[in-house]
Amino acid sequence: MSHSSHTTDDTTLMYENNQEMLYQGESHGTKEIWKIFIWLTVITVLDIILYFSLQPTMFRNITFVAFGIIKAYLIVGFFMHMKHEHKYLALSILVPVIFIVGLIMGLLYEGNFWSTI
Amino acid sequence: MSTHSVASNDSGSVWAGGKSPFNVSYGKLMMWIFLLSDAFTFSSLLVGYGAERFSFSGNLDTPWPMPDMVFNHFPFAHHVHLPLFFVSLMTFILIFSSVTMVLAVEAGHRRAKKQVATYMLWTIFGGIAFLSCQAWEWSNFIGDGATLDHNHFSLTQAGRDYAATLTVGGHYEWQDALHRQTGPGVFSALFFIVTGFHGFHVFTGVCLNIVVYFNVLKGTYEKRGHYEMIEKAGLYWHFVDLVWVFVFTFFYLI
Repeated sequence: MSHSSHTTDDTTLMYENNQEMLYQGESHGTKEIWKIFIWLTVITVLDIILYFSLQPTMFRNITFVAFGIIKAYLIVGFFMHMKHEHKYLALSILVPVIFIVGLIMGLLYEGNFWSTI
Repeated sequence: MSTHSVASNDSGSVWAGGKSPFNVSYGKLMMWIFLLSDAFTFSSLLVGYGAERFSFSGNLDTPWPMPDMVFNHFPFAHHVHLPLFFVSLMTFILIFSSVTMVLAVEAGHRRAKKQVATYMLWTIFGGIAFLSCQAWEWSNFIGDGATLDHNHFSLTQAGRDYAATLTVGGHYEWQDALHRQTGPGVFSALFFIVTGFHGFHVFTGVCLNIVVYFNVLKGTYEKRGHYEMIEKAGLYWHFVDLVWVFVFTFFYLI
């Protein structure tokens, strides 16, 4: 497999020796890419429309955060190919994000306390 | 020569060695783990911003500055009230550079060297355009009198009344002694640190992309037999875009 590439790129061998076996480089076409791009654009335009048409309320803020999470799903799932990765790789990366949820809850509680002192 | 990834031994569980349990190369797995740790760093900064801001809610003596009264500049439009316009432009530039990046990855799958190079170049241009916009945004913010620990963007009661009369696209003129007062220093500190840290990531990404671009031209990946390096650089670049989605949401929209 690798005896043809010995003469060049020693660093390549160090990091990537036989790993092309693990690389499934097959093209899925560009249709999906443009579809995701259009979705991201539409959601961002909706963000802007809501920003100018609604008063700043908790409802508007929650909508913005929800839109952010949808955009994150589209970027991670499709642009970063997480949907096509091995299930346990996806879980190893996505499950620790739960710590961030803990941080949000803890620090919002703290922020609420700071406002009283 | 390591035979780690050669699946010659099929006996035993996936974890017994001899094959990659996640069916992914070392470089890509490590990029994912790095991005996870980076996500923790950015969320600490953003959640810290949220906590600070939340602690100023209902505070009318030194209210948190209103983002649309601070970031309302647009090039060649002096004293025209245009909140969110410039930063939306920045957002679209970054989303589009993400698209050209993913198109480069797709071209790499087909081993179309010329197309990979073209799309990488567009991605680099997008990154440089974004950084230029950010430099302009910073210079305005600093020109308005913000320093790392000081700003005067908190509105007084008269300032809030005046802000309510502003219309999008209309003329505005702050009377600093009357409308604005010294605001929470942490507002400008967090703006500089969070957008600066993100901009530093964009700068790093542009440098990585330039290295990858010249390697494509040199034929390094052609010789290697695959264009996986584009995918790894792409993972980093999309992450930078992902972080901007949340910076945009928390600093400008909310």
